[in-house]
Amino acid sequence: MIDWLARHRFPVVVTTMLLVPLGLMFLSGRRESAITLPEQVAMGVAGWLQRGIGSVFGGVSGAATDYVALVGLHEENDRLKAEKEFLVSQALEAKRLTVENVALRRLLEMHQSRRDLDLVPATLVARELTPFFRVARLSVELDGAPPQADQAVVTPMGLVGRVVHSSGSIADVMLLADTRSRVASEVLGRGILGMMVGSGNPDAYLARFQVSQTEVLLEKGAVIVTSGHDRVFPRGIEIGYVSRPDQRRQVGQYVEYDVVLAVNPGSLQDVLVVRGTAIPGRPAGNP
Amino acid sequence: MRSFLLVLLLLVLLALQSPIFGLLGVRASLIDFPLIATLYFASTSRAVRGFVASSIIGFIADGFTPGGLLGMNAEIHGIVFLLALGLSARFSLTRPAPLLLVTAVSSVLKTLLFYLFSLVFDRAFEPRIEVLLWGLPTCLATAVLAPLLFLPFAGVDRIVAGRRTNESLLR
Repeated sequence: MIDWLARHRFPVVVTTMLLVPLGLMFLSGRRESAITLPEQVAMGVAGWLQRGIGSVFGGVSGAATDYVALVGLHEENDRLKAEKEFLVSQALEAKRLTVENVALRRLLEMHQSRRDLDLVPATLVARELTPFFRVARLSVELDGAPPQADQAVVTPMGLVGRVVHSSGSIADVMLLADTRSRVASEVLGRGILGMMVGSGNPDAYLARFQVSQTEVLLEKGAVIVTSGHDRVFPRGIEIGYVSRPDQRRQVGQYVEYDVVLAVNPGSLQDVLVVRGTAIPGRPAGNP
Repeated sequence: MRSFLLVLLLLVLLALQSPIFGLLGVRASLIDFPLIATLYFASTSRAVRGFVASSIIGFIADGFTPGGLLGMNAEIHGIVFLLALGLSARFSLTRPAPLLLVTAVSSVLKTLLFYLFSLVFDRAFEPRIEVLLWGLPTCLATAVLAPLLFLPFAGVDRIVAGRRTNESLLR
C-alpha cells in the first residue's frame, strides 16, 4: 500500500488536495450553517496577520508622513514666513494709517473749531540732533506766505512751541521744553498769570511755571494755558498741568512749579502753524 | 524551508497589499500575488511539493478573501498549478514574454473557475456575466507586472539556495 502510494504520490496528492477544498467549499457554501472551524482558523490567522502588519505599516507610514515625507517643508516655511511678514507689514501699515487718520481728524477738528486762527498744516521732518536744545524741524505745506519767526505751532492736544527760523517751507520750531522758551501763561479758570519757562531736561519734556509769590498756591493737576499776553501764542491753548506742587521752588520773586507738557514732541507727526488771526487787525494772542 | 519562506513572503505581501495600495490610491485587488506565487512554484519547484505549496497558497488566499468560500482558492490554485506546470514544460517561465502570457491565461482561468465554483457551491451567488469583467483589470495588471512580481520570490530563492531562476528576467 505504501509502495503504491509512493509510486503514485503525485496523483494521490493532487486528488486529495483537490477534493479537500471541494468539501470545504461545499460546507462553506451552506450559508445557513454556522461558520466552520477551518473558516474560523483561516479568518483568525489572516486577520491577526493583517492587523499586526497593518499596525506596523501604519506606524511606519505615520513616521514617513510626519518626518520623512516632509519634502519641501523649508520652502513652504520660507513662503509662509514671507507671507506672514507681508501681512504683518500690511497690518502695521493699516494701523499707522489709522493713527494718522485719527491725528489728522483731530487737526481738522481743531482747524474747524478755531476759526479765529489762520492755521496751516505742517509735518515734522526732523527732531533735535543736539542734546542742548529742544528744537524740531517742520516742513510746512505752503498755502500762501511761508512761515515766519514767532509763529505758534499747535496741535489739538496743546501748544508745541514757536517758529524761530524759517526757510521757504521749512521752519525750525523751538519746543516748550527748550531753556530759551518763554510763554505767557495763566492757570485755567483761576486767572493766575505767569510765565512758562522750558526746563531743558533732555529726558523729559518738562517746563517750569513761574508765578508771583503773592498768588495762591496751585494744586496738583492745575491746567496751564496760554494767556495771549505775549502776542505770540493765541490765548487758551493748553500747555500742560502742574505735576508736583509740593516740590515748588522760590526763584527770586517768583514761585516755580514743575509742569508736565501736554504735548510730547517725541510722538508728533502733524502740527498746525498759527500764521495769525483770521480776523483782520486782531492780534493772534487775542482771539 | 524554501517553500516555507516563499509562503511567508506571500503572507507578508498579502498583509501589506491592502495598506500600501490604499496609500497609493490603487484598488487593493489589482495585483494577484497568490497567482504569481503559484506560477513561481510551478516554474521552479518539483510537482508534488509545488502542488502542495500552491494549495496552501490557495488556503492563505482564502483567509485573505473576506466573504469568499473557504477552499475555493485552494481548489483554483491547485488547478492553475497543474496548468502552469504543463505550460512551463513548453515555455520557459523565466522569460518575460512567456511568463506574461501564462500569467494572463492563468488569471483568466482563475476568474472562470471562480465563477464556476461560485455558481455551484455558493447559494448566495448571483450569476451575472459582469462578474467576469470585474476580474479583467486584475488579469491585465498581474500579467503585465508578472516579470517584476517574480523578483521578490526569486530573491528568496537566491538567499536560501543561491538559485538564479530569474537571471534572464527583464533582459
